[in-house]
Amino acid sequence: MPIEFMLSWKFLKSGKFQTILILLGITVGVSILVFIGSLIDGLQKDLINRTIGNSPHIVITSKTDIPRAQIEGNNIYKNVKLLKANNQDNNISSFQDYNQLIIKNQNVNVISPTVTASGFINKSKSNSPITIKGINLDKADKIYNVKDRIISGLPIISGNNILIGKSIANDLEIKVNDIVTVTTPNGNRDLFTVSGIFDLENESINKTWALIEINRAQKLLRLDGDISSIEIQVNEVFSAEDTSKSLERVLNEDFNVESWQETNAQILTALNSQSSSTLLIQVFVVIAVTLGIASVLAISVIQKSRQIGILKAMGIKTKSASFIFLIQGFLLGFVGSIIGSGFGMLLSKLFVTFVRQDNGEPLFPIDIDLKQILVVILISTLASTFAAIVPARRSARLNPIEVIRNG
Amino acid sequence: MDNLLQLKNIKKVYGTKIKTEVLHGLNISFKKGEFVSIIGQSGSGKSTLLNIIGTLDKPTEGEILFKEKRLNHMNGKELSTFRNDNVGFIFQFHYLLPEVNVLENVLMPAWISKGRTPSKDVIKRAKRLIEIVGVKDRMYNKPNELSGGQRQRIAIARALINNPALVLADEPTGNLDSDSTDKVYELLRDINKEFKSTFIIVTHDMHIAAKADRVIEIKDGNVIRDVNNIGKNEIESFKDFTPTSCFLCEK
Ligand SMILES: Nc1ncnc2c1ncn2[C@@H]1O[C@H](COP(=O)(O)OP(=O)(O)OP(=O)(O)O)[C@@H](O)[C@H]1O
Ligand SMILES: [Mg+2]
Repeated sequence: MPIEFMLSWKFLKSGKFQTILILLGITVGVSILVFIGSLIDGLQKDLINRTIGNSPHIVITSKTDIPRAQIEGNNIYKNVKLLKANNQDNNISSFQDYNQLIIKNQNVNVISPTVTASGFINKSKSNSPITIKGINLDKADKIYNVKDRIISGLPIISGNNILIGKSIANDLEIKVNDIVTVTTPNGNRDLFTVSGIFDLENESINKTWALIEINRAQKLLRLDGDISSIEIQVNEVFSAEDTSKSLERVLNEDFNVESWQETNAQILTALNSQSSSTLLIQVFVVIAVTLGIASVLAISVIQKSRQIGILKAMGIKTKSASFIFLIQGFLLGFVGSIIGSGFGMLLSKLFVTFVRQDNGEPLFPIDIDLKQILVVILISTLASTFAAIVPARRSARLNPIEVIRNG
Repeated sequence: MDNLLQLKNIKKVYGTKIKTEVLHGLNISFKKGEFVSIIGQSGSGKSTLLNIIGTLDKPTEGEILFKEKRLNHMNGKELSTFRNDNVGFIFQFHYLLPEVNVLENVLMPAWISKGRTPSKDVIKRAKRLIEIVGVKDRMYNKPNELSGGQRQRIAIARALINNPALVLADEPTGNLDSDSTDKVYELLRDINKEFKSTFIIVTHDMHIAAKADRVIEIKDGNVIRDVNNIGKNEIESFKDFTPTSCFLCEK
């Protein structure tokens, strides 16, 4: 065994109380780091998932923003923004031009053309306002994951089939295979068969969305080949912003391209400031722990000055004399942060297990990221080795004569 | 006999503002295998001299030759290696490391020179030295489980582990009773005969001084006597140093 290692080990072993004290300090510090880290991470991931789980990462709309109704001389399609098809007479195929431009972007995963309009759904005497979404189910499913969240019936929208949200169905007492009437604000109406009821785990969606085939929607709304928006799903969620910028450059000026980050700017700002305050807390925990280690090791080097002096008289090198303390710092940091990580994970587990919502579900899934824990271990070990620099230098400077003279 | 160590015009000045010259240009040579004791009043400069010889301290002026090699211009690292290879220290207070056991204490200088766990041969040698100093049955105890005399004997074993050419002892029996003092002294003498190391021993104890091959007396930083005892009997040489009140002479 190298002498520096042997001596650090023996010194640590002999100063049991101090060693345990430092280890305890590091353990507490690191478990707080790990716990806060995974708590905040879980919270944020959960929030982002909830935010973008039911929405496209990028939405392309028309900038001209002229309601079809205005073009047609009346005023009822207030909220419908339109993407003018290259060829007015064509249906979805007229979007192939955009499609080809968009698909070139590496990050784009799904392109889903969509028609959106407000309207009413009506069964027997009762009716309810809805958002009519004309989609291509296969494509939209990759964004909204509807097919897996059908709670009764089948995921079919072809022909006159319609999928409706769970709350609409509850409110209007609609069951699968019921016939409903969908009315547009300008008075067009059609009959649809409810093929399935979905639960997208979001009340406002469940309460308003009705999904039909895009061609059908265009016909119902008298849109010819126009659509309201192109919804896009990307591979790298957090690069959606960049992707949106580059799409903006590729498409002509008539288009508005908005990423989920822009749409949810407020949430993201909140998350960012949460992250920075978490980081601040973590930095201060590391500083506090480092100072603690430094002061205990500084005392220990004074306690061991007799030993260091005699070792130097016997010819131990200055470098080795300082290594003895660096190694102690390293060992304490490494062992302490491993124990601390264990405790931190345990704490997170306990939190998930015992802190529950009223319905027994965990508040949010805590995210234990091994990579992050490795980073914490690395930083803590480095910090505590760093904390040993002052004692190590003291040890290096110690003159054996002083020790030997003063007994 | 060849010279092992030569001191040429060694001066030592302490302090920067108020300068006190503690050693006034000493010239002493030590031969290989010699057993020398240094005596003198308290504050005369014995420890200062010994620390300079052991390269723990630097002389303000003058030079030290060890086996004809000058030590003055060595840097800290070279001096550490020099000490580890050539000098064994025995101090008044034993200075064993309380954290490790007796065997590990004895092995420490070897551990330092190798940088890692010493070889089996060295461990064997350490065990033999512990046997020689008579603490064999305490090999795996911690130093604080030993008596003062035993500790000092372990310190002697430790000083010898690297087979140094020079063993320096500053009042090695200073805090032992007269019985243990005699035993430690006999031990040093035996080891000197067996290992042929040069021993330089600072002592207040005239009985020990009288038994050395050579006695150097220092007063106020000067050598005032340098007496060869070889050939004289113990009582004769003892009388040289303590003309009055001599209990040994009365026997
Ligand atoms: N660091 C220092 N600074 C100033 N003066 C010192 C220092 N160390 C020693 N001295 C002085 O040097 C002189 C010699 O000291 P030294 O320790 O060599 O004496 P000594 O002969 O070993 O005495 P003792 O028998 O009491 O151990 C003393 O007068 C002491 O006061
Ligand atoms: Mg002294």
